[in-house]
Amino acid sequence: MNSVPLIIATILKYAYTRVEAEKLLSVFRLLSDAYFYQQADARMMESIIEERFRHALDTTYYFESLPELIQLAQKSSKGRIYETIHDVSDALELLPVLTLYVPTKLEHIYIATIGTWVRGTINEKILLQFIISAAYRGGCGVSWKGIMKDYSFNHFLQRESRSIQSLIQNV
Amino acid sequence: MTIETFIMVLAGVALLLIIGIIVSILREKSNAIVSQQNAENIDIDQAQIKSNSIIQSALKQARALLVNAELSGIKEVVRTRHDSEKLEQAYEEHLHELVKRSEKHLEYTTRSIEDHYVDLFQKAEKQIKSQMTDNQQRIINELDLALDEAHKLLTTQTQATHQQIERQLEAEINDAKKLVDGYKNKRMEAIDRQIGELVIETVKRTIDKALTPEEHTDLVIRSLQEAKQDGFFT
Repeated sequence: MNSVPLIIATILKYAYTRVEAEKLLSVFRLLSDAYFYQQADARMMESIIEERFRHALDTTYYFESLPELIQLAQKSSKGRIYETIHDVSDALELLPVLTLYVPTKLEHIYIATIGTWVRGTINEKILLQFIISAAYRGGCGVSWKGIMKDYSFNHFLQRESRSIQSLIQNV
Repeated sequence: MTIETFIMVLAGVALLLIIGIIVSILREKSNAIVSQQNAENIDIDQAQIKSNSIIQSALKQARALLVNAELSGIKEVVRTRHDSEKLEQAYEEHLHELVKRSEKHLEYTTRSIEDHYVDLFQKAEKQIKSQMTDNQQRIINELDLALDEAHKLLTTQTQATHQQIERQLEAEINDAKKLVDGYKNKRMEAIDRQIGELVIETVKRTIDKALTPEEHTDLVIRSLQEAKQDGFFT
């Protein structure tokens, strides 16, 4: 059984950015190692992950995804597990990426909100990439298929510059 | 001296000249003969004696003629002197009379001239005075006219200058006004621009500080919606 699409779908269910997807893939690798080489059961695998990411921030989605990832690890073939992980990594590399330039770091919960909107509106398999830049206040810069455009506050200012200028003059 | 006396004197002089000439010729001849013919001394002595006698007689005649002439001349001079004295006397009288007349005439003429010049000077004085008065009046009139003209010219010129200055001032004021308005507008634009920039900067900073993560997220989604409306994802 080819478990690659299932693993990808599970990762995409909980991860919305390329970084998050890679982290979940590394979680899956840890789970697989624990399952195949330490004969760990589900509870032990959860403990290993908890211990491993105890000091990491914003890891809620890791633990949300654990039950499904544990099941996927348990269903995988021991002899092909690393090949599968490699294939998943390659497949993740091929997914479309939408880069967003934002002024501040966003937590996963907000990333999930944006990712849900993006996948529901543009492409259901899209991965996000966030770049922090103070220049894109009040919105974001968007880079898609090699084209970048500023949709931050500057964009709205330029669009409304005349009315703003008029407003200032009439104050 | 009469003509006859004069002729006789001339004849005497001519005779003396002729004799002189003859004597000199003879002397030359005799000298030549003496030098060439020393041997013929006897003939020469005779010839010399002869010539001397001829000369002597000629001199006598000449003296006689001169004496006659002198006598005639003296007579004539005496006679002439007698006439001259008379004439001189008459002349002196006439001259005396003429001098008197001349003196009288000169006196009269001098007086006339003096009177004439006194009269002339008086007339001239009157005329000059009259002319001066006329000239003074004329000058006063001319000056009055010139002053009137100058006053009119000055008035006209002053008015023209005044109008020109007013026009120039008005133009300069308008230019200055335009300059000030332009500067004011530019400054106002710059101030508005600065205010706009300040407002924008303030808004940007406020956005960073005041927005919650939910609002940030909403703004990102709003930006993505804008991009979708622009057809950015097609």
